[in-house]
Amino acid sequence: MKKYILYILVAVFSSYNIAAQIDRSKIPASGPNPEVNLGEASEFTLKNGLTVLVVTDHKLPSVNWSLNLNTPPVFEGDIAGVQSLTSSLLGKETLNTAKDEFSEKVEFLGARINVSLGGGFGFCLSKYKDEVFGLFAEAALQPKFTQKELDFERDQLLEGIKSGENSAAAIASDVRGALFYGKNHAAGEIVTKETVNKVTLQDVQDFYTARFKPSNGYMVFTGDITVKEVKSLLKTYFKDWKEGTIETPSYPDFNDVDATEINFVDVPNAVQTELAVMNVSPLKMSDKDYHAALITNYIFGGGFGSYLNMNLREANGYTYGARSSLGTGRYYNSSFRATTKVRNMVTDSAVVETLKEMKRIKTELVDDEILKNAKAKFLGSFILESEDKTVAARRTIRIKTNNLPADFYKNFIANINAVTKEDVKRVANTYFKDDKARIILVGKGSDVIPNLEKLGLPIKYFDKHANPIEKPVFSKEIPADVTAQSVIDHYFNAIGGKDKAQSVTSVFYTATVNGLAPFPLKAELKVMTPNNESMEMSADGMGVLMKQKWNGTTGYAEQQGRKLEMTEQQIADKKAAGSPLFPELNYTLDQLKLESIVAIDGNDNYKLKVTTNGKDSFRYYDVKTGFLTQTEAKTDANGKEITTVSTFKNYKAVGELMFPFKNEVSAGPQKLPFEFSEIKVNEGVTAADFE
Amino acid sequence: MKKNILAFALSAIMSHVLIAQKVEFVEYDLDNGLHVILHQENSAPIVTVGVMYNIGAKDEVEGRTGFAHFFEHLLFEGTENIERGKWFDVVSANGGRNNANTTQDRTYYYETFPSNKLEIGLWMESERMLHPKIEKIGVDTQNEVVKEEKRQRIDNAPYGKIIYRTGINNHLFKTHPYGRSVIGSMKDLDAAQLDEFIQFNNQYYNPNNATLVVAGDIKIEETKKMIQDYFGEITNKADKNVRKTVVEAPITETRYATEYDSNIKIPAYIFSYITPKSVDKDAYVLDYISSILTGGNSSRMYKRMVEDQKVALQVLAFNQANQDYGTYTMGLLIKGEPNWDALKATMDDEIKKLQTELISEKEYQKLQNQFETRYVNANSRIEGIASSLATFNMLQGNTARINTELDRYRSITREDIKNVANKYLNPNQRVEIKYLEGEDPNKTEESTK
Repeated sequence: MKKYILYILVAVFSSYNIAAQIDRSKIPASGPNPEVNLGEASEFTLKNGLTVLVVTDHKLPSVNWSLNLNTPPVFEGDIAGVQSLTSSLLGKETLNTAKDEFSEKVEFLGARINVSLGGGFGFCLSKYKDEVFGLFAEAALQPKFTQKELDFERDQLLEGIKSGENSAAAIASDVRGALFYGKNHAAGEIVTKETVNKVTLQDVQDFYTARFKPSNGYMVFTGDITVKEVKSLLKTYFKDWKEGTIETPSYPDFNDVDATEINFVDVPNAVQTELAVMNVSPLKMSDKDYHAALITNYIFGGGFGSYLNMNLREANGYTYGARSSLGTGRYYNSSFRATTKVRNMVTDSAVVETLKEMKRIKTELVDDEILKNAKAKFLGSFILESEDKTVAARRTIRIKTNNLPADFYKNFIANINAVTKEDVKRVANTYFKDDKARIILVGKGSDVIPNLEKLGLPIKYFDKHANPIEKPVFSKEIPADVTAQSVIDHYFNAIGGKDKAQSVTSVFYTATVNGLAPFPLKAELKVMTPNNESMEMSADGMGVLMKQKWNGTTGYAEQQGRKLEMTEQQIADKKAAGSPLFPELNYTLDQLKLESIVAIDGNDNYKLKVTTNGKDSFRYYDVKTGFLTQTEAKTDANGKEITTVSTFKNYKAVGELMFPFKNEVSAGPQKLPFEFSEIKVNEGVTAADFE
Repeated sequence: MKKNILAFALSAIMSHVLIAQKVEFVEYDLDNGLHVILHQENSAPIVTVGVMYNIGAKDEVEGRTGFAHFFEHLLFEGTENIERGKWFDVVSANGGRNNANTTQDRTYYYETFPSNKLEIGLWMESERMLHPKIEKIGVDTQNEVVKEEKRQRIDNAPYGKIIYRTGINNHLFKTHPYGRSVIGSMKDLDAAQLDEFIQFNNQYYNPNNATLVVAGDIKIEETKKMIQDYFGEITNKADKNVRKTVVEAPITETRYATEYDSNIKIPAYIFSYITPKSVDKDAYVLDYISSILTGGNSSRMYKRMVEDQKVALQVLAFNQANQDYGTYTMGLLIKGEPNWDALKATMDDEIKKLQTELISEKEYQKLQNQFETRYVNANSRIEGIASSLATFNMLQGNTARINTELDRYRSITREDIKNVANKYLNPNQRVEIKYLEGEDPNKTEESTK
C-alpha cells in the first residue's frame, strides 16, 4: 500500500515536473523515427505483357485503378493535337454503347472513368466494380470514333486554345517547351489552330490503333479488391487485348545556349512576368549522383526555405513564390528550371537574383544545418507518403521503368544521408549553368524591357508561338513636341512657377511616420539652399531617436547615441546632387534624357534620366498634371546596391507653391512613409540646424 | 500559406465535406477556453496539428479589408522562440509540411509531421498563440508578398474574379461583409499600421477563440498531457469573438452586372443567388441541384448546352455554403457569338423544370450513388479529417456532425429538390453577370493595382 502511494506521488510529481520543465526556447526533442509499413504490391503479368500490381486495402469500400501504357512520346508534326483529340474522344462512345448512354451508365453508378492514349483510370464503390471496370474496358478496347464527335471535340479544343491566348501562364507553358526542346521535338511542339484543323478522322483512328498497346504497360489496382478478383476482372474484360509494343523513335538533339540569353514574349495585358531560367538536365534516376541532385535542387529551389524563395519572396518581396526543378529523362534529356511569377517592375532584379543564387550554390559550400535539414525533409516525406497505399505499387513501377536496382527504395534514405556538402557543390556545378542559361520571360514588354536591357544580356524576341521576331515597340510613343525641357517646364508650371520655386530658400516639414515602430514617430525635415539637409525623428516621451545632418560639406547620421560620419563617396554624391530644394532648377540639358512614357498606378508618366557625377537616377513626371510622382536611385548600403524609390502624392498648396503632402521612401522591403502635417516655406530654419 | 491560402475557392467546389467512415474523436476545453479535439488513427505514422481561429474576413472593419488574410501571412514571420523567417525551416527540417488558409468565417493553420514529431507541432502552434513576433519588417515584406499573391491568383489569372468570387459576391451582398473579398483592398493594407496588427492579435488570437485539433498516430492520454503543458499556460487578452448578426435583405429584383477580365478570350455568363447558411438542410439540397444541372457529362445543362445546342464550351455550378449565408452560382463559358437572351432562356428553362417537375426516380438514384461515392472517397487522409473536425466544431457548432453528413444527404427527397428550387432560384433573386474580355472602362484606381 505504501508502495502504491509512493507511485502515485512519483507520478504526480513527475508530471508536475515535466510541466514545469517545458523549455520553450528550444525545439522539443523528437521520438525515435517511426516504422513505415508500406506492405508489398502483388504483381503478375498478363499474356499480352501488361504488368499488373494490386494493393489490397479494405479500409474504404471503394476501388481505384490506373493504366499506364508506358509508351514513348511522339512528335505529331503538322497534325499536332491529334493525341489530345484522340484522348478526348476515348471514354465517350463505344462500338456497343452510344455516347449519351455511356456517360449516363458511368455517372449513374457514381463512378469516374477516364481513358486516354496513354492509359486511363477508374474509381468506384467496390460494390459496382464489375460493371464499372466492364465499362472502362469497353471504352479502352472498343472505342468508336465518328466525324461528328471529332468535330465537336475539335471545336472544344480550338476554344480552349483561344481561351489561353491572353493568359501569360498558358503562353509561357507553350514557349518554354518550344524554345527549350525545339518545335521539332515531341516535347516542344505547339498545338495551334492550324494543326488542329488538319487532323482527320483517319489520323485519330490510326493513332489509336498504333499506340494503344499493352505489352510495356502497367496497371495498378488499389483498395477494396483482392488479387483473385482483379484476375477475374481482367480475364473477363481484357482477354481479347492482343500484345503489341511501340518502337521508340529517335528524338532531335537540343542543347544549352552558348552564353546566357533572354528570350522575351510580349503579353501587353500581363500584370506579372512569367520567369524561367532553364538548362538541359542529363540526369537519370539511375545516376550515381541522383540523390545528391535531389538534395541540391531542394536546397536551391525545392522548398519554402530554399535559396531562391528566401531571396525572391522573403528578402525582396518580388513574388508569391519561386521554385526550381531538376528533371530526369527516360527517352531524352530533361530540364533544370527555376521558375517564378514576379510583378513587372522587378523582372530585371528577379533575373539577376536568380542567377546570383545559382552562382552561390556553385561556389559556396552549403551550410551544415541546411544540408541536415534537407535530408530530414526527405526522410519526413518518405514517412508521410506512406499514408497513401498506392505508393508501394508506384515505387515498383518506377524501379522497372528507370532500370533501377531492386533495393533502390530500401536504400533511398541511406543514400540521401550519404550526400555531403562537397557533393552538393559538385552537382550544382554539373547541372546549374548560370553562364549558359536560357531565360524565358513572358510579360508586359513596355514595363519590363527598358530595365531588362540594362542587364547587358542578349535579348531575343519571340511571338506567342515561339517564332523569332524583331524587337516590338513597347513604350508609348513620346509626342514629337515633348522634350526633357518641356517636361521640366510643365513641372514648374504645375507647382506654381519657376520664379516662385527660385524664391524658396528653406522648407521645414513636420511629418508623422506610422508603421515604423509600434508607436507613431514624429519627423522634422529641414532643407536649405544651397545644399543643406537635416532630419530628426522623435517619439512622444522618448526624445530624439535618430538624426541625419548635412551642412553642404560634411554630415553624419546618429542613432541611439551612435554617430556615423558620412564617407567621402557619400559626400561627393551629396555635393553633386545639388540643392535638395527643386533640383530641377539646377539641371543642365546635357544631364537629362527623356527615356519613355511608363504607367505608374495606371497613370502615364514621363521617365527622365538624370546623370550626376557619372551616376544615373530617374525622375517620373505625370503626363497630365506635370507633378513629380516618383524618383528612383541606386545607393550603396554595406557593399550591396539597393534601389531607393520615393513616391510623392497628394499635392496641396502652401502659399503660392504646390507641395506633395505624402512621401514614401522604400528600399528593398523597407518602407518609410511620411505624412506631412505642416510645411513651412522660408520660415523656422537656420544654418545651425544642419550642424 | 503556400498553395492554399484562399481556401474559399476550394470550398466553392465542394461545400460540404463528406467523411468516409465514422470518425472517432474526443473533445474537451482547457481552463483557458481552448477547445481541443483529438482523433486517433494509427494506420500510418503521421500526425496533423491544426488550430482554427474564430476570426475571418467578415470580421474586418471598413477601411481595413484583407486584414485577416494578411494577418495569416504575418503569423509565419516568427515567435519569441522561433526566429524570424525560420518557421518553414523548422517544419521541413523535421520532415513536415504546413499551410494555412483564411476564409470569410475563420483562419486555419496546420502542420503535418511524422508522428514522432507531435510535440514539435504542439510547440509551434502554442508559440504562435502565446507570443508571435509582429514587427514592421514582417509587415513590409508580407505586404509585397500579398500583393503578388493577388496579382497571381486574381489579376493575372483567367476567370480569377469568378474563381475567387471577387466579381460575384460584391453584387450579391450589400450589407453583409461577405460582399467584400477575402484578399481585400491593397490600399487598405498599405494604410494599416503596426499597432493595429498587434491589437488584432490581442483581440482575436486567444485560446478562448480557437479550436485545436490533433489527428493521426497519437496516444490520447499522452497527447492531452502535452497539450496541457504547451497550451495550458496561455492566457486570454480579450473575450471570445462574439459576432453581431448581420442580416442581408433578400434580393427581390434581378440585379445586372458586367465584369471584365483582360486574361480571357471567352466570355462567361453567370447567375448567382443568395442561399441559406451551411447548417441549413436546404444548403445540402442545393448540392444535389448543382449535381443535377452540371455534374458530369450526363448532367442536364451539359447535355443540352454543351453537346446538343453547342452554345457552351463548359457549364459550371458552385454551391458554397458559409456560416451565415451561402451562394449558389451557375453559368457557362460561351461558345461562339454570345446570344445572351437565348442563353438566359435556356438556363431559366432548366431551373423552371426543377421548380415544376419532380426529378425522375432514376435521377434520384443516381444522386444517391454519386453522393455515396463522394462520401467514401472524401476523407481518407488525416490532414483532411483534422480540418473537417475543426470546421464542424467551429462553423457548424457540433463536431459530431462529421459523422452524419451522408444521412443528411440521404434524407433529401425529390420534393425537397423541387421546393428548394422554388424557394431560392427565381430570376428576381439573383444577379446576372456578363463576364467579358478586356479592361473595365470604369475602373477605379484601386482595381488597377
